[in-house]
Amino acid sequence: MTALRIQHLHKDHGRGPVIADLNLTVESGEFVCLLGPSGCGKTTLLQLIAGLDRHYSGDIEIHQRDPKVLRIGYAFQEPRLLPWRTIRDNLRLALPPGMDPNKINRFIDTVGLKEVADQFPQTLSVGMNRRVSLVRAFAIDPDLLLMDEPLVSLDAPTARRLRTWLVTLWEERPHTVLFVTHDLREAIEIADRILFLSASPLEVLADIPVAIKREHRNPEAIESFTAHLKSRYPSLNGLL
Amino acid sequence: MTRTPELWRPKFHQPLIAIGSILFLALLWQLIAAHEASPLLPTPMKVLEVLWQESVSGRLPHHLGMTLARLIVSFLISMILGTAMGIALGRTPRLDQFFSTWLVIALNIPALVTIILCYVWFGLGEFAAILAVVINKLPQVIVTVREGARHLRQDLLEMAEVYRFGTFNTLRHVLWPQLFPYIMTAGRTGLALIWKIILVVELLGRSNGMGYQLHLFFQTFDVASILAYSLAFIFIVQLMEWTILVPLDLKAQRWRR
Repeated sequence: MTALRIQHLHKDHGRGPVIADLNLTVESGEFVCLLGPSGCGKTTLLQLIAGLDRHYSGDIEIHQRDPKVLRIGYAFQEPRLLPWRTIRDNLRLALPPGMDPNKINRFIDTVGLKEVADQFPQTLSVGMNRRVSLVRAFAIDPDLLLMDEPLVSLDAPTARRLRTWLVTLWEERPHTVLFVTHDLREAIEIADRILFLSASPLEVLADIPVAIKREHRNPEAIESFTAHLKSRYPSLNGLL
Repeated sequence: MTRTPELWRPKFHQPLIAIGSILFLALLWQLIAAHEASPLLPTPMKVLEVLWQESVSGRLPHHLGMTLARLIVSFLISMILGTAMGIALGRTPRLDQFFSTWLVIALNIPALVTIILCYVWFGLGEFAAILAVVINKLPQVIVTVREGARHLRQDLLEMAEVYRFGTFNTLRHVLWPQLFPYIMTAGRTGLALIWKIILVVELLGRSNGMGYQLHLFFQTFDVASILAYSLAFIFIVQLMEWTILVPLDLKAQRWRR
């Protein structure tokens, strides 16, 4: 089943097109990475999909299980938690109406946030805030999960730890994910499929499945896959 | 060597310092008054005596009550109206551009002028009195809240939109906590401003309240009563600060590190 279908998407901020005739589809339960240079319009694309910006032409179709409400989980680059609400309240407030609030308490326990649930975001580390932001995106049981470089500007060990944790979280709750990054190794490690994007106007240059089993994605395998990409797709050199 | 932790030292000493400084002020007053021995500068004991008599006779509670009632009504009206208008102006640049000149004019009209005009146009009644206070206070609330509304965090508003907080939750959990410090500032300065204006309003056109009484005492040069009424008033205003404003502030700030 198709979770997201984008057809002939066109977006213009007034200084020439940012996105020109973009077409892409994401299957239900798929983890897709969008890889492109900084400033190529990836964040703009996610905002259009999330409905935060409705000034575009073309079609964005998202399959929603509940006909009344579309649920989109969005992990922003910055965690965007309400600093004046506790972690638990931050998560609870994001739940769609009708969802059992007790669900959040069980969820908090299973993802390792139990110790910090009643603290305020500012008392926690940057990494922990990112974690909460990701948990919030998963907690609403979304039709589509958008992640905009949620691990950027973390120190390398924290980012690695969070990436592993994120993949586990996703494997337990296999939602459809659109994950924006500019880090090829990160993309190879977590994605089912990588879409290589060009700078403005944003276009899909290549659509490449990561044909390595998840449990075999160690640094060597990632390295050899990168080398394979370089020889197979010389036109992508700028991105590799 | 151990040192007293920085954090609790001021907390422990602050009330002691405050009480000490008040006692010192009273002592200074007593010494000067004893030296002058004039009815124009009564001793603290004399003032307390008048305060007691006026309280027992019921005059002070009556007039203080009238003034407080006017204060509360005009305070609430100007806070509610001012907050709504401040948010509207802060979020709608066009509206703001149009009305900002009005605001500048309103901020610069002398309080006395609005009071006189209200009495002239609407008669020497309660309505005109409250209106005069509200008109004096309103522009300040609008300007302060507008500043807060201009600086709302767009990133959190987007987050609330994506997660479909709805109007009520967005107002309560996203907007209100950001506006609260500005509303508190408006409230604090407002209270100080209102109770000064309200006395003039009463002096010019009411037959009860603190302003009216002070006017009477002025005509008989009754300084002891003037000071007694002032003391009672200062005490009430401070009481409001300690029992309402400070706890509100602490509750709203507890998320800060």
